Amino acid sequence: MDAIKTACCFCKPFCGLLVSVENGKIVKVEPDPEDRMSQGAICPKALASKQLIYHPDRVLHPMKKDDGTWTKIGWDEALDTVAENILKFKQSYGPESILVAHGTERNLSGYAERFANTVGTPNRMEPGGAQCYWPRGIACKYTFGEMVYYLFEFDYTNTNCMLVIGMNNLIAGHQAYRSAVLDAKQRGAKLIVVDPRFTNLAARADLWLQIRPGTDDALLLSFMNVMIEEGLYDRSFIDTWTIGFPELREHVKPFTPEWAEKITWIKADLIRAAARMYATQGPSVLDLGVATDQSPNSFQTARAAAILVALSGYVDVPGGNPMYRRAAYTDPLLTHDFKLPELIPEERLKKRLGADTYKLLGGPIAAMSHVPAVWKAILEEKPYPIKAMLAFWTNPLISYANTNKVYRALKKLEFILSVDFFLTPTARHADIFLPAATFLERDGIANYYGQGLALLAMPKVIEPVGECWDDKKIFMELSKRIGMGKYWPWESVEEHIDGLLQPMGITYGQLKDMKQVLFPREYRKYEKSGFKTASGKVEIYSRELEKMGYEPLPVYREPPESPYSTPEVAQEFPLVLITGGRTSLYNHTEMRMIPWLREIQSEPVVEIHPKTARAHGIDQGDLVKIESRRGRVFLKADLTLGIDPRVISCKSRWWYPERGPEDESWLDSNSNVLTSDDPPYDPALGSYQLRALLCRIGKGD
Amino acid sequence: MAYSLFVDLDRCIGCYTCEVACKQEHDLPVGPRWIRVTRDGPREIPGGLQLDFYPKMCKQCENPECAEACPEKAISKRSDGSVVIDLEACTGCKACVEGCPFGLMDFNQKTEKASKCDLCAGRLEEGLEPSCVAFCPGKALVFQKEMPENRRLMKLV
Repeated sequence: MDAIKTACCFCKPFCGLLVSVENGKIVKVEPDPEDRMSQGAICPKALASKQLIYHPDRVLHPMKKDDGTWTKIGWDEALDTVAENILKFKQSYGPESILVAHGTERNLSGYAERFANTVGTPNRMEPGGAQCYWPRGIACKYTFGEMVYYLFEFDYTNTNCMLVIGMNNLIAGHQAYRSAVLDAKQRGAKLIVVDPRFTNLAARADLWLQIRPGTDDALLLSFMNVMIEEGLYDRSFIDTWTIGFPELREHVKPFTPEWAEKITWIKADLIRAAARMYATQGPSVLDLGVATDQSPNSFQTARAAAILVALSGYVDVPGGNPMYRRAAYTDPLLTHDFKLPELIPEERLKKRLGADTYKLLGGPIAAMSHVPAVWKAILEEKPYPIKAMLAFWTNPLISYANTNKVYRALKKLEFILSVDFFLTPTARHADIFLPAATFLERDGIANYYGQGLALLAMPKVIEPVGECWDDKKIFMELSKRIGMGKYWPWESVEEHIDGLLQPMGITYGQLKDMKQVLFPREYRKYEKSGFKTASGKVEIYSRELEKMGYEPLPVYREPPESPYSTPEVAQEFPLVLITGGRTSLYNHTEMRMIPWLREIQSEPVVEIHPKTARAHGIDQGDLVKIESRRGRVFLKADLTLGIDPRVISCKSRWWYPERGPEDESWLDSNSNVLTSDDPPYDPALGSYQLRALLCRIGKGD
Repeated sequence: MAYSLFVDLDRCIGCYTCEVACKQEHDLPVGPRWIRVTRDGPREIPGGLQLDFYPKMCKQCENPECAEACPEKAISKRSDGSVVIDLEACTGCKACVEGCPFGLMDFNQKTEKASKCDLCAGRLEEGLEPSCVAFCPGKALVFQKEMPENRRLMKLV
C-alpha cells in the first residue's frame, strides 16, 4: 500500500498529509510528520476526508434542471449550456450582468478571478472580501508598504508575550500555531486574550479582556494612549522608522482607558495592565483575527492594530510580527499577472459595483464588488441588472449576511451555475450543476497560507470519483467554449502547472518529488531596504489615505446597531448578538454531512449566560427563539458562564444536509438570517456590520 | 508493565482530533466512541473562571467489571495490561455495556458486538503510539512516558 504525500485543502493552511491508497481507493488519511509547518499534527476535518470523498450524497455527474427536476447530463451538454448562457447575457445585458461568486481562498481563488476576467465581468465576490482578510491586509499595505499575511505573521515560537484579538488560534489559524501557543505558555510567555467569549484560549490567558463585541477599535486606541502616555513605546524604532508619531500622540490623548471602559465594558485598570504587558514583556506578537473585519470600521481597526505593532517596535523581529513576504511573492497563482486584469477595459472596470465608493475593495488589490450593491443590482436592477450567477464552491444562502434578502435575490436570477460537491441549499436553485473534484482528486500547488515561505506540491492521490472534474479543467473548457480559449491555452492541468513553475526553473514533477520549495526567512529586512511606502517608513499618519478621503489616523466608530447608537432598537432587542465563534469540526458552511464530525457536534447551539437564560425561563437544551430586525432562528440553549449576560453567541451557518435538497429548515437554523448587510459601511472597504448586532431571545416552543 | 496514558490538562484544547483519529484507525461507524472529549466548565474558581477539556477512554481496569459481567467470558485482561474483547465469542448481549461502571463500553451497531478501545494494538505492534496520541495537535496525550513535572496531568489509562 502506498502512502502518498500531499497537503490538506479542507481549509487554508495546507497541512501535510500522508494518504494511503489501495486499488485506487483512499484507505486512510493521516498527517505527514515530515511536513515543515504542521509537523504531524492535524485536525479532525482532515482525518475525516474519506467520508467527504465517498459520501453517498456527493453528486458525481453534471446535471441540468428542467421544470424543477434534475436530470443527469454529459459534460459536453453541461458546458455548452453554461457557455451559451454566458454569451447570451453578455450580448443582451453586457458582461457586467454576470456575477462570478466563489467561496473562500483555498488554492483556487486565483483561478476564479482569472475566469471572471476571462468572462469579462468586473463583478466578482465572495462572502469574505470586505468581511475577511482584506481590511487587515490592506491596512498593512498602507502602513508598512506591503500586503503581509492577515496582519503580519506570528512568531509564537520565539515570543514572550501574545496579544490575541478577535480570534482563537487554538481553533482557527494554522495547525502549527496550536502547539506553538501551548509551548509558549508552558515556557512562561504571557498571553492576553481579547474575546467576548471565555474560549479555550481565554482560559489559558494571563489577562482576559471580555470586550463588548464590535468595540476593538476603542480598545486599540486606548492601548496606544497608555503606551504613549507612559512612554512604553520603542522610541528608537519610532524615531528612525516611522512618520506621523507626533500627530498620533495628539490624536490618542482623549482615548484614555477610562474613556474606553465605558465603550468596551473592560475595566480601565485591566486595559492599562494589558497595554503594559504587551509593551514591556516582549518580544510580543499581536494576532488580529477576522472579528474586526466584520465591522463597519474594519479598516481603521486594522490600521490601529498595525500602528500598535509599530509602537511596540516588534516589527519583523524574532518573537514579534515578522513580515514574511505575502504569498504572491512566491506563489504564481496569487500574482497580479496570473489573474489577467487587463482583460477588463477601463470603462467597464468603472462598472464594478461599489468600487467608486469603496476604493480599497474595488481597486486593483482586492478587485471585488461590494456585496450589498450586488444584491441591489439583482433585486432592483440598479444601476444595471445582474442576471446570472456563476457560483464556484460557494453557498450564499448560508454564508452571506441577511439570508432572507439573499434568498430573494437568488430567486430573481435568470441563470445560476453551481460547481460543488453536494446539492447544497444554494446549488438546489441552480440551472446547471457541475461536480467538482476534491483536493485529493486534483493536482495543484499552494503556499502555506499567505506565508511566502514555501511553495508546496499538492498532488492528487486518486482519480476523481465518478465524473467529477478538477475545477481548473472546468475553467479551461468553459473558456474555450466562450471563445476565450487562448487565455487558458493548456492541454492539461499538469502542463499548466509546469508553465507556472517555469520561472523557478522546475517542473511540477520535480516539485512533487521535492514536496516543497523553501524560501529563506529573514528578519529586519527594512534595515536594508526600508519600507515600501512612499516615505520608505512606517506610515502612522497616512497622507495617501487622506488624499483618498479616508481618515489618516485610526478612529473609533460605535457599531451602527448597538445599545448606545440605537437605544430605541435596543429597547426591543436588548441583547448583543455574535455569530462568529468557530469550531474545529467544521469550516464555514461545509462538512455538516460528514458522519464522524456530525456525531460529535450534531446541531447548532446558542450560548447564553445562565442569568439571562433564567430571566427568560430557558434551561440547558431548551429550544430558543432568537430574533433580530432581519428575522428569527431557533437554536438549542447552551448555558455558559463564559459569556457576558448582555451578549449571546450563536453557532453559525448551519444547515441539515441529511434532510435533502428540498428542505428549507436552514431558514430556522442559519444564524445569517439574523445578520445584517445594511449601511453604514466601512468607508474604505465597504465592510458591513456582521457581528455585534442586536437581538432578543425567548423560549422557542 | 501496564500501559499508561495521561492527558496534560494545560495542553488539551478540546479539538476532537483524537475522536476522529480513533474512528478512522478502527473504521468505526457512528455510535461507538472509544475516546470522547469532555468539556469541564467554564466554572467559577477564586478570581475567575476555569475551563478544561479532557478525553475519556477505557481505563483498562486492573479487575475489569465488564469482563465479570460477560456471560461468554469473551473479555480478558492481557499480560500487557490491555483489556480485550474476543469478537468471535462476543454474542452482542450488551451485559458488558451495563457492567462498565464508567459507561466506557460501547456497542457497535454495524457488527452487533461490544466495542472498546484496545490502545491501538495494531499500531503498538508496529512500534507506533495509539492514533489519539500520535495525531494530537496540542501534544496533550502522553503515552508510556515519564510523567513530566509541573504539569496538570490526569491519568486516563
